[in-house]
Amino acid sequence: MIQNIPDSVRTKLNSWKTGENIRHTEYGDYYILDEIISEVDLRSSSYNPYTIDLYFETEERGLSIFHIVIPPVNLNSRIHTIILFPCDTTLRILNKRNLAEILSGDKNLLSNLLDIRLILGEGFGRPLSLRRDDDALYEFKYILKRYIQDLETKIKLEMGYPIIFEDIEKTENLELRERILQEFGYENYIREGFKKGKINYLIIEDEIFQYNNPGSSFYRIPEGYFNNRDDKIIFLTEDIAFLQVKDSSSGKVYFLKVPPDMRSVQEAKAWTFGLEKEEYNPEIET
Amino acid sequence: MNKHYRHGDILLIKIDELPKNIKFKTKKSKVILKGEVTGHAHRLKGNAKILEVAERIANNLIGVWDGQMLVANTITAEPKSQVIGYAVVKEPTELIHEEHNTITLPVGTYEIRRQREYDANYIRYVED
Repeated sequence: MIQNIPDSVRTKLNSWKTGENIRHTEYGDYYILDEIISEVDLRSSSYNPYTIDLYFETEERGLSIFHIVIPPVNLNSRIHTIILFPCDTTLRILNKRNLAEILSGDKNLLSNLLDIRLILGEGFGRPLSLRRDDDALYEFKYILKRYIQDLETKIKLEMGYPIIFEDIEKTENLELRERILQEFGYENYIREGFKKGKINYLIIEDEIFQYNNPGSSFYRIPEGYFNNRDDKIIFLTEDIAFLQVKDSSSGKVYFLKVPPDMRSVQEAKAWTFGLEKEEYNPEIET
Repeated sequence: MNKHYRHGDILLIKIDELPKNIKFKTKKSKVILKGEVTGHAHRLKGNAKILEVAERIANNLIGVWDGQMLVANTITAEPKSQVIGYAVVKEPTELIHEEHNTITLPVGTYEIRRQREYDANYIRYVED
């Protein structure tokens, strides 16, 4: 059992043991315990949360996450809290702070939390630019969902858990996705994609290659595609396509998601800047 | 065709003049965009100005035929979501970034676009 949790929190935790609050991940199932959204934040034009992640070790799977997002102090608004717990595991708290104190929502304690400099602050505090009020809630929840997905990826990387195909699919931050792609291997990713039937086509230098039998071994990645060429490949899945771009200054390779109806590299590159195929013709690219 | 300058995940398009239907505010810093994971930033040197959109002004007063008569209808200018701002360059100015080669921008006015990615539900900016 999780220790030192106030009864009110425990009741909530217990009441949410089934249904959509469970999140299944490679390294365990988690409960999303709570998610509080204040009106003030939804209506603010921009929101830049301080994010504090406390990592606790579990005896069985070695990991659980306790994740708090605290809005800027001057907003004087309620606290956003996302708490993820692994199911049916015993927690050993690595951080010295008492979990119960944190969960109790004591304002003084929470302000003390701001002093704890932990893992985050680089990469997941996506500023939320909310547009119209109608869209705000949807947008917030959507971003929140993606935010949690990226958080999982980051934890996997830091804790040395093996990266799987689906991690690359779901990770949104480009740098982060690039890091796990490197770890997984680009060729490996495409191979896996074909095997799983997730990738159906490749466009290489504006020629479409279709594979009718994705699991078969005749598929071979042309030599040198991942080392020497710039912006020359797209692979298409059913509902998403990836454009490979190589940064000419740094030599870094990225895969950008583009719409699945793209049929040429030029079209896909232009789309990423909101332009038509014919419009995109930069004088300098670097 | 207007000249384009691509600097990583941003694209600067030289334009003839600033759009008239936008109220601008001048950005205090010279940073166009900063990567959240990397901390690297696209910035302008010198005394170029970066303008952010403060307000879009409803500018089109057009008639709509309602079956019997023309009715005036005000339509707010649709924002170009990928345009994150504008730059006014009064003298040749360097656009710098930790990972990208420097581009020297000629004198002129520029629309700044940010690269986006596709998502089945939502179109979003590229984040690094």
